Amino acid sequence: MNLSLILFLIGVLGFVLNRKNIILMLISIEIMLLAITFLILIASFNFDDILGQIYATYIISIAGAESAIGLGILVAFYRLRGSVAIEFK
Amino acid sequence: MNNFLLDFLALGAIVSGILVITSKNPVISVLFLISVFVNVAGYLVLLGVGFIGISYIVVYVGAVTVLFLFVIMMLNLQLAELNAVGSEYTQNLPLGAILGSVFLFELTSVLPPVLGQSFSQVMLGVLTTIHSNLLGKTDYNNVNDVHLAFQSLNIDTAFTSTSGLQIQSIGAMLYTHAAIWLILAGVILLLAMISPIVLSMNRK
Amino acid sequence: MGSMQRRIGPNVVGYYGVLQPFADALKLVVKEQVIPTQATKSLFFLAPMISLIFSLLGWGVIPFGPGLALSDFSLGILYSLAVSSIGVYGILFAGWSANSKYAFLGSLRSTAQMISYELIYSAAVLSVLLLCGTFNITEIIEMQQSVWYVLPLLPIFLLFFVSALAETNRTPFDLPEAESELVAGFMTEHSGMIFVFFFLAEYCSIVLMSTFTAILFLGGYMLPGGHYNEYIVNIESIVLGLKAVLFMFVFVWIRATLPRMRYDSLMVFCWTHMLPMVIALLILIPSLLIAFDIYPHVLSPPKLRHYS
Repeated sequence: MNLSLILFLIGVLGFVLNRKNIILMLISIEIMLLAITFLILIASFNFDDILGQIYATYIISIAGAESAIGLGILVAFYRLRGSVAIEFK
Repeated sequence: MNNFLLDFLALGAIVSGILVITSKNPVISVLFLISVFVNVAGYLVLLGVGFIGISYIVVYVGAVTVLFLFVIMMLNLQLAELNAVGSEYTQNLPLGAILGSVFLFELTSVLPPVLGQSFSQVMLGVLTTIHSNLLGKTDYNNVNDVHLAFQSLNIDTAFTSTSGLQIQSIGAMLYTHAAIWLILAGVILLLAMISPIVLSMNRK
Repeated sequence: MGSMQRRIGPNVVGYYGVLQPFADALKLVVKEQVIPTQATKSLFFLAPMISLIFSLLGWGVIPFGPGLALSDFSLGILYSLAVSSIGVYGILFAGWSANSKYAFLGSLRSTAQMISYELIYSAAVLSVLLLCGTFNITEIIEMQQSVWYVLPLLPIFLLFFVSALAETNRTPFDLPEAESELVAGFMTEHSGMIFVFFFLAEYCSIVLMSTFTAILFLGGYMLPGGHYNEYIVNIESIVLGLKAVLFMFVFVWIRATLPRMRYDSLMVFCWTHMLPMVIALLILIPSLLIAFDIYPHVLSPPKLRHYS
């Protein structure tokens, strides 16, 4: 359970510390989703309950959809701006 | 033996997770992302959540990460441009430090300490010492229930109320109790199929 | 292959050239390692190992007789799909790490092709699974006692075999190695021992694919008629080997006869011809199973716990 929290922490830190690189932000989102799914799975294993696994199945499919859309946005962004850096100014 | 393997995989997942967010080259960081996924999937399979564990490899490693690599390679970014990003670390460091300390506080105080093994033991020991000095709490000897629940024999038969495999009970639940959300997930996947096509279409 | 194409093959080494493969292998092994100066060295060496290791790992779940598998676990098919999907990374990293345009383009092409055909491959495997209702490979073979699945699932079998050809980058689809345009594809910069690794990975995956086809569609280790072995010699594994050799021969046969396809027509063929077909079959087969009430009774659901 702590493994998933540490992974989530890594994901959040990656998201916060790399504010300019959109690829790394997407990767961090993937890590965070992974951590949450992992937490749910471990909890479902501990309680011997199948619902957690079903929920994890949904999260996996949503994560696949999310990464596809995110990368689509990334490609469109790159075509528009010519770089993947985000400017906050 | 199995506990050792579980800890080894957990350690591998954490180390490669750290390498994901620290490496400069995005291709290398995606390589370590694969490593994270494989480690976590191995952890799940060893723990007894076999079906989801293998679907992790099929879905994440087989599809999502290949997409990432594809996009990164196709965009063909200049490394110099990405290296310039590295100087931005310092700007957000306070925010990162705050978040990190909040999470570590949560790890030690809110949750029962389920780490308890090898590498984690050392870290937890350090944290416990700090914590007991600050707040005066010392009772960190709760039962480690994650590892107690593990038995290698019940890899396929965990979660089943009657005889039958884990995947059968997942399927039975998925198509009866949770059918509406299954359809919903299907619609979202359809959206995910259409939207990249629309996004990347060349408008004349 | 030489006689199929009406030319004289290599026939100098040994009698009729039977020792030629050994000579080739020896030549490759003693060759000098050349590493491009701009290459990412760790990945450059890691990539061939990834492809070889993951094509060998697929053998873990193949049963050579009743219960004669390294691991006869209940998710065998899913495991083999997962392992074959990891094998793509070997090609992708090989092309990227060599830092050469030829290798890079070759790896991108090859990966796109393998991902697209992986879809068809998995869908075909899934439609086989619908008929037998289990993920365990031994049980799939035992379900074929009455009839081999090649008869009821002939269209699925053809789709499966074409996608297996494309998965292993064999001839009508061997775009990664199109010599005239891409030199040698993703392994242009690799030489000597690590090139041998790629070579072995490719041929190992061909043997694995043929064995897998034999298992899924030709009844695996079973003789026709569900004969049970009571001799000391393991006849079943020989039967499985013979069936696999049949498919390997077809692989070489196709290689000797068919010309290479163009890349865009390859992708169009995958996405607009094969995919709708395989999805239609994937819907048709369970509908037939339900309509005639002949679905496998392994699928009878366990008792539900109520969550209301």
